[in-house]
Amino acid sequence: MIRKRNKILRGIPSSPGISLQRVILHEGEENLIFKYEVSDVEREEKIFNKAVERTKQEIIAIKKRLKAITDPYSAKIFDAQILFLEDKDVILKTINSIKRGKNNAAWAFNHIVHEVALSLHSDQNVFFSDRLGEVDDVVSRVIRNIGGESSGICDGIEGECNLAAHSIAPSNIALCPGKKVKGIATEMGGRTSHTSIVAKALGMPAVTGVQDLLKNIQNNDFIIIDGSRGVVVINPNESTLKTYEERARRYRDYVKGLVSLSDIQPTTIDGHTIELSANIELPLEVKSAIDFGARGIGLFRTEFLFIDGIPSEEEQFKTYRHCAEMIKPNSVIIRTVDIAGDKLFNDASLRDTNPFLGWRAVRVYIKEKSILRTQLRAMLKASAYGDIKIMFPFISAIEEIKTLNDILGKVKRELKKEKIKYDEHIEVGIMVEVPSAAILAQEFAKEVDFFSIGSNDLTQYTLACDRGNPRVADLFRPLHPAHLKLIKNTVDAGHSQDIWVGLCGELGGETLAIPLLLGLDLDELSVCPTRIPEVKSIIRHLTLGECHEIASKALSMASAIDIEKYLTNILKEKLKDMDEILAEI
Amino acid sequence: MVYKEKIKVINSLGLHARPASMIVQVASKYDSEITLKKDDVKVNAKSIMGVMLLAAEKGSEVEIEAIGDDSKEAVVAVKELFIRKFDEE
Repeated sequence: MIRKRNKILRGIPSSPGISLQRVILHEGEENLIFKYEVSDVEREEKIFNKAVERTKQEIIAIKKRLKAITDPYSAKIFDAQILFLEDKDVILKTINSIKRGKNNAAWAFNHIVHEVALSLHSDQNVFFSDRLGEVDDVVSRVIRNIGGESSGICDGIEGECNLAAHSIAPSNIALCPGKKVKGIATEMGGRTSHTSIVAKALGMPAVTGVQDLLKNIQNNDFIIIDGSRGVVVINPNESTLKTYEERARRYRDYVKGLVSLSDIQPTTIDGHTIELSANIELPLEVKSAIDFGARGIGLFRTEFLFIDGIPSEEEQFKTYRHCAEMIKPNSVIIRTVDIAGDKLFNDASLRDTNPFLGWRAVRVYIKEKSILRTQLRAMLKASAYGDIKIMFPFISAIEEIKTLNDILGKVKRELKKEKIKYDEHIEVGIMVEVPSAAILAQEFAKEVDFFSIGSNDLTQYTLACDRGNPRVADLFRPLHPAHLKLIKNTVDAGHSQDIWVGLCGELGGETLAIPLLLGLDLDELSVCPTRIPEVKSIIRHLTLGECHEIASKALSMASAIDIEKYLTNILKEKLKDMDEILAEI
Repeated sequence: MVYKEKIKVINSLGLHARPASMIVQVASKYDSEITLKKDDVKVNAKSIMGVMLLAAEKGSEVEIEAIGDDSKEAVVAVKELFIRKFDEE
């Protein structure tokens, strides 16, 4: 392939900032595997053997757990995974590749698996998806365990780089040390996909949804990733390069200026202050949330704890306590795990044809109570060490709230009996992210202490649009009047029952939405930590009075596009002195 | 000693993960080298990768071959799994 010159591709701006680097391609689906030479082959062999053994123990544990709740035949699916880890063809060849080729264990293993597969079938595409679905999963596990042993999957990369891929699992982005990987471009995903959420949290520029990205790029091409405008430039010419170097410099100065705002309040010109808190995914983000000036944690997602199976009460307790202590005297809202059943139990036979509408989150743990019980015990125990609030995701019916409250009551009584301290007045709230909850907010509000609107899912369910699908991503418009009306209904209903209402979706960090959300009288906005300074400075350019007018005008419109245009014009006027923000809208 | 027999796959899902596991578990009990052959592809019956990648669907014909002292017992034991439809139904 001839190297492209100054080729410009467009995608979705997913995490702001500009990165100019040579690119490393990642051609697999999810696992990030790089090849490099190891100096100590014996150590590498030990690492590999240990990873295989650890994986085996993990799978045996999953199998046991599954056996207890389903039929023995379903649990047998894991026999294939265990046998795979004992497969001499694969294991011995991998060890050989490490010893003779001085290859790193992760690459050697992945390579051998594919080589064995290829020797039997020339069509590699059908390989993982069709024939070896369960094995694919076990390969990922081994590689993850290898990664946990040596100091990181990205170890082999020398110097700094940008990463281009079809898609990257959020957990893999989190494993990429920021000092090496400076920017990300992917073919899949959209502005609010989990990949972008994690990239934003780490302050890594990202462009997603770039069609034909991999067709146009070769390893070591020099690329520009402009995450603010959604542009990828491959092997830029001199004048493009100059323009972007200047833009990157200006962006860095701009961010520095914003961070210096961290001690200032999010208060409007006419004196109205809103709670501004942060959404986080990893405990290590608490620190960056504080640095960026968050008041509290408005959403702590707990899915990361469940990546390697169901964590123990002790492990969860330690994590929650750590967060609560770090964020003191402010509060942390911990959301119970929002995972689909098949992922939680690592059982492909539980996979839903439509996971967004399937067996997930509260629907799982109303049936599998032990998962919720353990998580609630850990949260309650941690509540003795700081201000913790509990939040349940994916609520669609009032019975769910009642059942969850019953379980919580039981867990509290258990702890009391065991003489374990906890916050007896712990606040309990729900995510409003299913349209039925927004419509019935008046009734649901009587059962809880707060609402937090999950605008990503609420938009997705209201508009029947999968935000991760690039072919329909342009239909995903959180400023759609139908969605705004649901938000208004939720806020008004909450206030009429004297409970506070926040919003923890990505919309809260969208420049265009801020005057509107203030005007809808939300009490709290919880946004990605890196967005906090900017949101704050926008709020400080507005008055609550004009926000009310803006909201009522927007609610009178029938089209999302009209609302976006209207808000763009208003903000251009209001934020005249904020160049960088204007470049984004 | 070489012993071989042909058998048809009659369970509805073919040699997917679970049947493949059963074959490997049974085959591993014998000392003989055991292979499965479908069309021109020949795989080690003690390797789960091999058996799954054989991609033998319902209706396909598989040749079970064993070389070693217990070759006949091995082939019969593996064949038995096919006849039992891998306890699927």
